[in-house]
Amino acid sequence: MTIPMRYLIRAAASIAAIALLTGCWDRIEVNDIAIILGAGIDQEENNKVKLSVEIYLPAPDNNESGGGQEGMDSGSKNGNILVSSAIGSSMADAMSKLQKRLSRRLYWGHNNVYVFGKERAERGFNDDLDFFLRYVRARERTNIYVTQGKAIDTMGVIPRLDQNLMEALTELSKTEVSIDVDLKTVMEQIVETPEQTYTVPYILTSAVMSEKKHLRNANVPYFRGLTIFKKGRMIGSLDNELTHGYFWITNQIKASTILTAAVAKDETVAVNLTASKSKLIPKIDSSGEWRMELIIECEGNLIQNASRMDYSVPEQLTEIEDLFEAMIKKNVDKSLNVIQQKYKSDILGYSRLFRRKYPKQWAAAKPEWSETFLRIKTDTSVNFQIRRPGALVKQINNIPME
Amino acid sequence: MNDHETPLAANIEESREKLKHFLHDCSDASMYHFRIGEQLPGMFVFFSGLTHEDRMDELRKEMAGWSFHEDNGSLQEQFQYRVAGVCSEEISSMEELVDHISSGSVILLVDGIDRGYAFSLAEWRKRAIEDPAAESVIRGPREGFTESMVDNRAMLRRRLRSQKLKMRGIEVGRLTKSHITIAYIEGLAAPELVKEVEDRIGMIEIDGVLESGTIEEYIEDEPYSPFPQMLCTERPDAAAAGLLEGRIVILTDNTPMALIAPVSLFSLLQSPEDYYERFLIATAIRWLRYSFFFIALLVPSGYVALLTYHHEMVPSALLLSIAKSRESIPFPALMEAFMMETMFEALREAGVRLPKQVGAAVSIVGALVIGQAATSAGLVSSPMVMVVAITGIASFLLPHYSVGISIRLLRFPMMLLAGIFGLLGLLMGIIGITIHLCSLRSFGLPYLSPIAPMMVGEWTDVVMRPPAWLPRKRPRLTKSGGSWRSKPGMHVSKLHRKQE
Repeated sequence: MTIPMRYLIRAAASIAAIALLTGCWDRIEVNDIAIILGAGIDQEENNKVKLSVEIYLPAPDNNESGGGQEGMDSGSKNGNILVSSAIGSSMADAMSKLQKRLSRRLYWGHNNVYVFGKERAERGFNDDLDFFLRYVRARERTNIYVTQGKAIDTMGVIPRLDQNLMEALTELSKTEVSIDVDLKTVMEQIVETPEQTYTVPYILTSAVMSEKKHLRNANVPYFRGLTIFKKGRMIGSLDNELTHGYFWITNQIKASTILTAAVAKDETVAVNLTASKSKLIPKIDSSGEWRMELIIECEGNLIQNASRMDYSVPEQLTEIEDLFEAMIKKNVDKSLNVIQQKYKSDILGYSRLFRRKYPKQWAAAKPEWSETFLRIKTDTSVNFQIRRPGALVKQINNIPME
Repeated sequence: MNDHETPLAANIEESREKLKHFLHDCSDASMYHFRIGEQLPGMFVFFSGLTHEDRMDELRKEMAGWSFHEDNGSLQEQFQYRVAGVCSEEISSMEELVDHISSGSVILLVDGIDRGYAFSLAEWRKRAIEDPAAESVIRGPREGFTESMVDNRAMLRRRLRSQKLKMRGIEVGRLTKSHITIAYIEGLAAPELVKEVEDRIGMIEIDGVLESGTIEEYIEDEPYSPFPQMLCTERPDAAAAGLLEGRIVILTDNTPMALIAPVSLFSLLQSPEDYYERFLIATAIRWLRYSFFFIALLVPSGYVALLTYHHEMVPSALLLSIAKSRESIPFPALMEAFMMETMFEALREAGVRLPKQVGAAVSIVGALVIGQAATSAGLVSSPMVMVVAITGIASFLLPHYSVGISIRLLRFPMMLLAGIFGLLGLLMGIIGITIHLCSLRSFGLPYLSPIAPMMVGEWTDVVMRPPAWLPRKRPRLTKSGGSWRSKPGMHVSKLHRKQE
């Protein structure tokens, strides 16, 4: 090497100095951040917005310190959440006001849940979405929920089984109870549908709290179906039964769903779904009528048989299957009716399917999509098969004497 | 005989005076007067402790019994005639004499002859051949090199019973005059390579060589690199394996450490036991080692980077529990990591240097420093303790101490980079190390070969430990590179089946 050593040393020293003298100027230690676990957005008077956040309190466990100090809240696990809220003219304003009250920097990177109050949802939350999508630290895969009352009421609630309500909600959304709707899905729907129609899970707030402070009432389900959004506003909701129909149509029904059908009075058969596939086939026939063909194919295992029906008799098995088919069809038709006639919003994704298959006709129908949508007839056909009877083949009441 | 050498005197008394002057203050030099054939005065000169004195005594007795007849010429002539069949070498200067006696020979000086007669009776106390302490294996030979060059050479020769195993000797060190042996297999090792090694060693100008480390430092390609460019082993089987791959083994006098060159990074990550264990298991272990190589290098810095800049990348639940345990820690993550890693290195060093009796105390204190006590004292968080412990174990997983220690050293600049620039810094560090490794050479062999430069044919020995029966070509660095090392054929069991 031709460069003398002392120059190399000088160069190395100055590079090291440049790097080291700045220190870790933009470092943010874990101790400096307030980790937001969930955020609630409510409508306030004078068109203001109220932002409430659930912040993780990283207090070390009592048993870890091992000392004889008396615990603050009798050792309950719920001491690790702080709820704070602020009102502002916009989300950003509310957040800056909220920040002023906290000694640590609000950290959105691990936020999993946005809960909107019903009032805010009815006014429309596109402004808030703009903030969440623009703000770099916030994640696009954050789940969105709408709650019946005020969003702040869902904050700080301890669901007992999980660490906090936000975790419980995200976990439940993965099961058959509800669906995952995150910022990304909503954005996609806004872009893809002609009238910005989408659904968001609806949280049941009534009696969320038990008489004990902060503890959730264990006897109330978390969800109350879905809310329907059209043109950025919430226009209504589907109850649990209609939601089920909606799941059937949109192929969102999850395996492990349990279906119960009544054979006769006080006689029921229950089936655990193992697989299900719904297929929508758009069709414009020669007369110019728009139709949709819905084929649902599903199979399941018998998990309870409290009826006279005998699984081992092929005719009776077919009868049970027909029963379920009829039930599903009824459920679907009812949901379709409500979605098409009452809400006139294409949350089913019909427009996307027609656009793909009939782009020209779709383009023509696009300006008045709602009108076109409510006239689309859906032909539902259900094929249900029960594959396995479970460990008990006969039903108890009918076991023949030895 | 050169001009500046002191000639030997013919008169024995004169020789004695000269020797006394030459070897003054050498209290271990011994002179032993006697008469050959009861007539001719003679004198043995030797260093006590280096010679087999019993055999010297036998020699003296035998010589004392020699009888001379006057009609057969002078005593000196008769003596010279008879001694020629016994002695190993004739010498003519004082310097030669000292050379011989310091390597254990006995010099016989005789009155009336200005020459000395050397007898190779070298024999000194040495350590027995023992289990190699630093490179232990579960399966494999249990003998390790010792300090004796003779034994070490014998151990190699025993493994390679072929005249193709050549051992060239060189002497290095003005005062220590250490013997260096360059061993290679003729026809396998490239002759240029042998010459290069010999030339490099020949150029060493130094007072003393006490350990192979000195040789290594003198002849390695890149002295400023933290990575070892020669493999240092005390296992003769590893040395023999190196020889078979066309490498060169350098044995140094008075040290049980043999140097193998050239090496690539991958051969430094392999253990001789890989080849003794079943190949599936050895392959799995090899991969374990590769992954822990990266863990040892990157985990502390990665942890620092994630915790100071990229909280998004930590899974939520983990971040919450880290946040909880870090809540009362007064130091930034970088400081914490630096402190703990330094502490760990200190403990390791203390453990190596301390006498065994104190060792237990160190391990107890060590468990307190890196452990529960440190966490409860609120000095470090428990995830940090885990990180330090994992990296500690990871660095010990590397089979060669010299690689492990270079990785451990590089961890510190990496942590600093991660603390200053986050993952960007970490990446800069990785790129820097990669560039360095790519440019590094060991006696002309690229350090990352066969990955860079890419020699796909030799990858089998990197990505897995190939089964012994798999036909394999010799590494390309060797003279006969590319020729078949094991016969392209079939596994014995298949051959057997075919015969049936």
